[in-house]
Amino acid sequence: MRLRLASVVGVLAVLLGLATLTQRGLAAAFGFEFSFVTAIGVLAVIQGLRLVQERRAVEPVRGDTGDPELRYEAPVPGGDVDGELADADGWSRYSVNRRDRLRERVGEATVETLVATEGLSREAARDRILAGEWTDDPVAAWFLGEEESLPVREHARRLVRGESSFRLGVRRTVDALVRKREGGG
Amino acid sequence: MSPVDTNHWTGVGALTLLAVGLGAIVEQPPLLLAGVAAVGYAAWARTGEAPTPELAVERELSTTAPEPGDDVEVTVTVENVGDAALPDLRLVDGVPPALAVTGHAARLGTALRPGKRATFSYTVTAVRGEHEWEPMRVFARNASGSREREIEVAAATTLRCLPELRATADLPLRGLTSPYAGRVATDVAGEGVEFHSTRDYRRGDPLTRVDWNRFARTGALSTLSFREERAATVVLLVDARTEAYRSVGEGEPNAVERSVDAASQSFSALLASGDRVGLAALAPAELWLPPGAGEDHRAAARELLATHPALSATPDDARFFPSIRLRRLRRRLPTDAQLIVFSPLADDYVVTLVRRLHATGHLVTTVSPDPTATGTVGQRLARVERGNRLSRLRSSGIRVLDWGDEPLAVALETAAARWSA
Repeated sequence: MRLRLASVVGVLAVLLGLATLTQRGLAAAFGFEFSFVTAIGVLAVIQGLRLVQERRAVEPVRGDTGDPELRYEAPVPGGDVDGELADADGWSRYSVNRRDRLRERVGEATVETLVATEGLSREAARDRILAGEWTDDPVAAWFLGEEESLPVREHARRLVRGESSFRLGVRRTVDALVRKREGGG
Repeated sequence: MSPVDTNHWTGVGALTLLAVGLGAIVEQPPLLLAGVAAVGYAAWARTGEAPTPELAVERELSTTAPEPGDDVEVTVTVENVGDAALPDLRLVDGVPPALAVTGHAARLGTALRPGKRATFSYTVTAVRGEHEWEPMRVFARNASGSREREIEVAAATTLRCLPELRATADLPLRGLTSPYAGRVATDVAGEGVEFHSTRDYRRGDPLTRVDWNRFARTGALSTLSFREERAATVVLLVDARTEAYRSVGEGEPNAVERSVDAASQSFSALLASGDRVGLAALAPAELWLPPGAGEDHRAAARELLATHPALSATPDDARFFPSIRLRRLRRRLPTDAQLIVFSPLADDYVVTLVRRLHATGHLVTTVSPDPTATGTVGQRLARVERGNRLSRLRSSGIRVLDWGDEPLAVALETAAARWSA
């Protein structure tokens, strides 16, 4: 409704302006004093500033043309883990679930690796992991073990690097697994 | 599609008001006049709707049957067949996702009056498969560029790339064979090359197989038996589920492409050595070529390996149930058939499938192109997990060929030495 009124006033003003071109006498209805012209000017500037404010957030719209020149790229295995790892810090229920899931996955990979490389049964492998005896790396042993604690030196290093203890654990456990597979066949 | 505002002229209204207002306050007529000019632009931005282009698109390929790796030049001609002039036209061609554009861009910005045509060209590198072009996307704007409309224009174009079936290496097969003569040494005594046993002479035994040394020593006639060499019936099964589309990194062929390449080489090698070969796939689209031999069979396999949608270089996201597909495959498999499964082993499910096939009595060999990398923690974990899957298969008595970035022939030679040891 406000807009309608403004439009009517605007159209009337334009018509009046056009009429003034032929009927010069109409112009005498307004006193062209300094104050009147300034008032019109101030009104225009205020409106202008309001428009600037309104349009500041407006982004240009362009049709998204995509990249048909690029070939379909298949994902690299493990991308899902990297994505989950990047989102696993914090104490929201979502992050805690993520950490549990990742820890379980890394644990399962460790059991399987021990079964494959050292010929252990699954139970024996699980016992060694819980006891932290499956690797020389104290961080990897702590990450999946029950009794180990993270060495103070590693704690300090991780704080300097700004890495969460969970991420440190996953990284070092996976590296220990890689070494185990490369060494043990 | 309905046209949208591009916001190209955003701010011209504000500019008008500011110029007029400031001009009035500081009493500067030139500023006031500049404001009036801006009114013109504001009005122009509001005139005219984005036109609806009526275009005829034609694509011409420099060759429609290239070899893999060949460069194919694509020339696209677009004609304005409508009555309206198209002052601002952006054309983006629908290059098939499996093809990479290597020369020039597959797009053009132009203006077309009615009846006029524009041409642009680009180069793609051919890869195996039947590649359909997707519709061309067209963005048309009005003269001021304030409104934009997007449409699609279809023009059917197909590039078929059928590689020759080339055999590079002999495939070591396992002992399960058909009754036909071939090259797999069996434990059955008879004609062949490798010594098996001796037995008493029976009437009708060929003289060439009589053990004359023994006859000279003892005076008794005996007959030498050799390991009979028979042909095998082999079905090549390609894992082409979405989970199998994995690659080492950008620009590298994905695991399904490598699997199909390996299957093509194996098919040819097996056929050449007299075995009967069939073809199947684990994919939403069903593929089944019963085991057979001969030139016609070879030609049929070449066509299927190159163009069947199940073996496409890009995944088909349609839903399907691999276990149902597997049951059907098992019903179709001849009882004496052995399987060669081509799979990157990128998930646990495929391990279960392979073990189930093995458990039904079909000897299984797995050829597994390695799609894992080592750049990130996740990638290293995926590599460890795949290694564990390989170990699990091997411990079930299934042969596994872990195929890295070396040529298949080299990988096969190494594996054959290990398998025969």
